[in-house]
Order: sequence, then C-alpha cells, then structure tokens
Amino acid sequence: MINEFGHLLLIFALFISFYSIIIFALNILNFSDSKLLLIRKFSNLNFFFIFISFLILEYAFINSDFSLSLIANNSHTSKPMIYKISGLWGNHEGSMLLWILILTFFTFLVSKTKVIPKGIFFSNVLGIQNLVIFSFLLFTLFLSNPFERTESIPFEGKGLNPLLQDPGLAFHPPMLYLGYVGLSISFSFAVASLITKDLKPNWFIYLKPWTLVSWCFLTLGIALGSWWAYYELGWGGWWFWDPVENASLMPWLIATALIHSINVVEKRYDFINWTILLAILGFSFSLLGTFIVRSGLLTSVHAFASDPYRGIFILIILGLSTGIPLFIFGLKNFKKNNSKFFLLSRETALLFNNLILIVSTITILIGTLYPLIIELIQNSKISVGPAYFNATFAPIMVPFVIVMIIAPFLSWQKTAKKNLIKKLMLLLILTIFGTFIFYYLKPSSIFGLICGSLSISLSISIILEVFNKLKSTKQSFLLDIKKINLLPKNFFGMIIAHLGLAVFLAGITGEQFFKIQFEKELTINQKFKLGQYEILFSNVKEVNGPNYVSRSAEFDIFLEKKIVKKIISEKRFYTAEKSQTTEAGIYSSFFKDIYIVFGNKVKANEWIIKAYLNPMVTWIWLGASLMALGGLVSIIGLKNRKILKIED
Amino acid sequence: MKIKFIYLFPFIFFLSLLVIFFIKFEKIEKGESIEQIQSPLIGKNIPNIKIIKFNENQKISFSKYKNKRFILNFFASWCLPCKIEAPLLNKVSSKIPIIGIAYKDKEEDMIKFLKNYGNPFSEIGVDQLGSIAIEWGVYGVPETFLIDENGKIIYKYAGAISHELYKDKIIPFINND
Repeated sequence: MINEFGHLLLIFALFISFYSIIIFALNILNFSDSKLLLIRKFSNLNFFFIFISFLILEYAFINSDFSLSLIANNSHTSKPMIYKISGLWGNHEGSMLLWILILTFFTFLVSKTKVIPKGIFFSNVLGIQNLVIFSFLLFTLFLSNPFERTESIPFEGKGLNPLLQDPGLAFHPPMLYLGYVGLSISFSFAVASLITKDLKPNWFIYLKPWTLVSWCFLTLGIALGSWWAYYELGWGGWWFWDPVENASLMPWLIATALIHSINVVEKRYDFINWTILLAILGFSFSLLGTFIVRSGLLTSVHAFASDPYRGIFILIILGLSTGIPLFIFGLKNFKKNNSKFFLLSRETALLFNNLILIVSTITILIGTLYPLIIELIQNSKISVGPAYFNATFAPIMVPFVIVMIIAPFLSWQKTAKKNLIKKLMLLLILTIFGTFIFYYLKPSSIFGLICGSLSISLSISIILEVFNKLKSTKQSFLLDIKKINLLPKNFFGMIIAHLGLAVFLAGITGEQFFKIQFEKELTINQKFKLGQYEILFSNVKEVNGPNYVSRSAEFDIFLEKKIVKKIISEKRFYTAEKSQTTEAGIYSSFFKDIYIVFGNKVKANEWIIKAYLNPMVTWIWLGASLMALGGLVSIIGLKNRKILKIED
Repeated sequence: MKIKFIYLFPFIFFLSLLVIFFIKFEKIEKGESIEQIQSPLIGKNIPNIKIIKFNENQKISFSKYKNKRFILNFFASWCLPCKIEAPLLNKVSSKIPIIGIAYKDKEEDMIKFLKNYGNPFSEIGVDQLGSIAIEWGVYGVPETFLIDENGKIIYKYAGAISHELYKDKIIPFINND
C-alpha cells in the first residue's frame, strides 16, 4: 500500500509541475504577482512530495521489500545496511528518483532565496526549473518507474553489483548528481535572462553561488569516483578515460570556465554572452553525460540496463532543453560592450583559459563520440583509448597552466610592462631553480619534467601573489600580517583552489613518471623488492565476509630490515551476485602508496602478485579536495560581498 | 534584428550531435547494430586461412576439432572490453575449448594480459598484421564465433560477451540445444 502512495506522490508532482509550466507560459504573456506566489508554493510542495516518495522507496529498500521489481533486481537480504540504503541509487530507476529529488530540492532553495527581486525574471527561473522537473518526472513514471511491482514475489533478491558495494561508491553518485543538477540553476538563470531580455537584476551575481556549489560537488564527486577506481578495480590506475568518466569531466570543465567568466562580468561587465552560453552548456553537458551513460550507446565499465526507448526519451529532453535555449541565444543575445581589450590584462588571460577549457571539453567530446561516429560512417567498431586523450588533452593543458601562473601578475584592464617583467623574472628564476632540484629526481620522460616544473612554478606564483598582497608597502619586503583581514574571502578561495591544482599536478607527476612496477608468480614466504622496500608474501587465508567469501593474501612490508606495515589484498566472491571483485592491498602514506594486487593462481601454492610503488598518488585526491575547499571558501566569502544596488 | 551567425554556431553544433544520435538510434531500432549484423560467414565453413600458433612454429589444425563444437575469440591486451569479458570467458573455457586469436598485439603484453586476467584458451593464434581478422570478417576486438561440429560458423558476436549472451546463446550452444 505504502509503495502505491509513493507512486501516487510522483504522479501528483507531475501534475503540479505541469501546472507550474502553464503559469510560466501565461507569465510570459502577462505577468502578475499572484501567479508568482502560486509558482513558489508549487515548488515547495513538489519538493515535499518527491522527498516523501524518496523516503518510501528507501524504506522499501531497507526492509528488502521484494514485491518491488527494482528491489528484487538490485538488493539482497544479506547486504549490509549501508548498501541497502545506497542500493537505491545503485541502479537506473532509483538514481532517477534521486536526480529528481535533488532537482526539486535546488528549486525549493531558489524559491526561498531572498536576494533575487521577486518579479517576472524570478518566476521565469522557477518556470524553467519546473519544465526540467516535468520532463524528468515524465521519463521516470513512464519509462523507469521505481515503484513497479513484480508479478510474483521472489524469496530473495538478485543483489547489488559487488563493485558498487563500497563506501566510496555509496556517496559518489549523490555528490555527482548534486553537481550535475546544481548546474540546472545556472542554466535556468541564463535562459530566463534571455527570455526576459533583462540584465538589470544582474543575474550573474545570483548565478555565482549556485555555480560554485555545483562545481564543488562535481569536484568531490569526480575525485571520489577516481579514488574508487584506484582501489577497487585493481588496475593500478586512477583515471581510465572511460566514457562515463569523460561525461562527468566535461561539465566540470565548463563549470570551471563559467566561474571564471562570471568574475570578468563582475569586474568589467564584459563576456556577458559568453557567460550565458557557458551557463547553458554546463547543464547541457550534464544531460549529455546522463544520456551517454543511460542509453547504452557506448560501452563502459558502468553498465546501466540499456533500453533504446529510454535513450530516445533522454535524447528528446536533451534536444529540447539544449536546442531551444541555444536557438534563442543565437537570435536574442545581448549587445556587446564596446570596452577596450589589452593583450596584457587579466581579462585576456581569463578569456584565453576559458577558450582552452572549451577546446579541451570538445577534445574529450570528440574522443568519447568518435567510436560512435566511425561506426555510423564505416560500420566498424573501434575504441579510443587513453593514448588519444594523453596525446591531445595533456598538451592542451600546458599553456593553460602557464597562463594560470602568469595571470596573478596581470591587472584588470591594463598592466604596466616594466613592472610585470620584473615580477616575472623573479618567478622564472625561482622556477628554474625548482626545476633543477626536480631534475635530479630523474623523471622518466621529458613530459614528466614539464609537468613537475609547472606544478612547482604554479605554487611559487601563488606564494608570490599572497606575498605581494601582504607587503606592508609597495617597496618593502616586510610582511604586514594584519593585512590578511582586509583581503576578501574569495581571494583565499581562489588561492586554495589554485594551490589544489598545483598539488594535483604534483600528484600526477609522481604517479605517472616515478611509478615502480613489479609483477611475478610467487609462492608463500617469497620476498621481492619494490623501490627501497622489501615485501614478504607471508600467508593466504580464506575469510568469510557478511555477504561474500574471500581469499586474502598477507604481505609484510619491510624498510631497512624493519617491518613497517602488514597489508592484506583480497579476491572476494559475492555469493548472491555470483561475481568476483579485487580488493587491492594499499599501504598509503603522504609521499607514496604501496599497492598490491593478489592475482590468479597459476600452480598449487603459486599466485601472480602485482605490486606498484605510486609516489605522491594521494596528492591527486588531496589536490582535488583542496580545489573543492577553495570553492567552499569562495561561497562563504560571497556572503560578505557587497551586492550591487540595482535600481528597478 | 541583425542575426549573427557566430551566435548560432553552438546551436548548429548541438543539432548535428543530435542528428548523429538519432541515426544511431534508428539503426538500433531496425536491429542494425553491429552486434546483430549477421556475418556473411554464418552457416559457412570457417575461412581457410593458415593461423600460426603463438610461440610454436606450426599452424592451428582445425581437423582436431572435427565432430566437436568450439569457440573462437579475437582478443587483444590493449582492449578494455576484453578485460571485461575475461572472467566470463574463463568460466566458458571449462565447458568447451576456446581458440584465441591475438589481434595486433605485442607478445609480452599478451603474456601479461593472460597472466592477469586468466588464460581461457586451449590454443592461441597470432594475427600480427590483422590479415586473419579480415578473412574472418572481424570489425574489432573482442569478437566471438561459435562453431559447430561440422566446422560451420553458426553465430558471431561483436563486443564483450555478457551474462545474457552466456545464458541465451553460449549455454544452449554447448548443450547442443
């Protein structure tokens, strides 16, 4: 009964959002305040309904109610509680409900904000949000209903894909969805401003916090996913250029560009059309990602059940929600501000990096869709591997980082050349010095040297920037710590996020160019060397987990004849799902990871052991977390920001 | 109102993407996806081309498989779907002999690959130049052929084999249903 109630609430929500759309359509013709009140109330009600419906489904998952086919297909009584809960979004139908929940939640938050003047612009924003909500509700109810009953109730469920039974993966999808869906708000703001053709309310000021919030969540979501891939897949890497990974990276790149172009709008009231375009594209790429993952067009590690009708429906949503705004944008863009541009100015640097971000996004898009296009033209199947992305994406990012290094020394509008050269000389000298030290560590290729020195140079540039801001007078070299209080919080946000990228680059350099690998068949009590470590393969045991049996290998890690750590690598066999996973044994420290994979048995008492020494690999996720933290600090900083007074 | 083409460019770009997706879906709807394009070899004898065995200077003799059913699988160490299908292929190998053809692969990479993901193959042939793949009408790796006791190809599948395929095609094929 209660499940039917959850289903009913979804149907109610569909009607409410439909009614909101009618109000929205009428609003465009003639606007009245009473209608605005109604559309706000509807947004609150919609969130409430979806939230209750979500709780009902969660309740059914916790109680393993196998009368719902979704739960029969994706859950099992023996599963630990946390995976029963996260099981809701470990499948297509449930994750669609989570997606809609977040969408209505964000709409609810927008309807509650006090900053935005309550006028036609505001009601248009809510109207567009409701259009998106409506189309996803329609999709969920007709093509992926989570409340569908089974014909005969099975005694036991089929279980959740063991790869997904992992704390990293339990929180990865919600994070990512918060990011994807958060971008819908920026999207609605952009489209509403195009429809209203009114920039008076300075919509980009309202846009910034939403974009920053979704950017933070996207950053964390992607980092969590890559961390999971690192320790769970047992392939020894952290990024595989899989179509689904690319699908999350593309909106992230666009959102990064958007955050920076909003800055230019704020400071110079320029790049307005560009910012609107980015705001539209951010959400479009989120939808494109969803479409790629769920339509089954491309094969990937993430296999959702593929149903061509579902794909066509999402394609229609994608087509309408991207096509119409882009078409309006083509016809109704804003007049260009005829301000002068100088080559040596911060806005030029920002524009340049914005362009690089777009080019890199398109590069990834081409690589991801290339197999599809080739299949259509030549009827042959090919796969584009990491080789393509490493050869295209990485070199594009070199000038990007160089501009990032120089940009802090440029001022808005125009930079005095003499001053700039002096500062850059200092930076260059410090960078060369740093690179020399780095050269003695012997990276495995010239690109490693470039990558490392970029990371060093970026950190130096950030330190110099903070130093410049804190100097007591222009000429002196003394620092005035009190000045810290005068600096805006979003300056610190920017510093932390950029430092995050430097740390991230250092992580990549270590992982890519200083990695040591070992691979051999070993019997118990054999030793092998990995860098300066000596590792003893000490034991093999059979262990029973809550819903799996595992064969685990124990390793003792020695450094200078002293034992530093015992680690365990496992091969797990999940009985309900009848499949196997690898749990790599990892000894993680700040500067290096020892990563051991327990491979297949070759002979009696002989197994393949793969081991990696990954220097600095944790810095990759540390850097990503710093970036997200920087975003968070910027959001907090926005609170104290003076909001431009706009006359209505 | 003056319309500038450059502002319409994003729209046109997205439109062309959508067109590509729609064509692809049309093909899926018509059942024309590569997986379902039936190879012209189906129902015919296996192509008569010499396949050199890996590490042995002799060719694979198919006469050994007379009156027996077997599977032939094109694979490569550089191919991600091959890694995905490896556990299932290992499971299949306990029930029926599988001949593997290493497609455009380096020897040491292939040895590593088989060590890491298991070796399901009773015999391994080498196709360094991809010429055998052409004779067999292979679009890419992995591709799997089911061959009956008369040496005739009865089914071909492009892409990583799935649990559904295992249940619906391979098990009936092994049991000769």
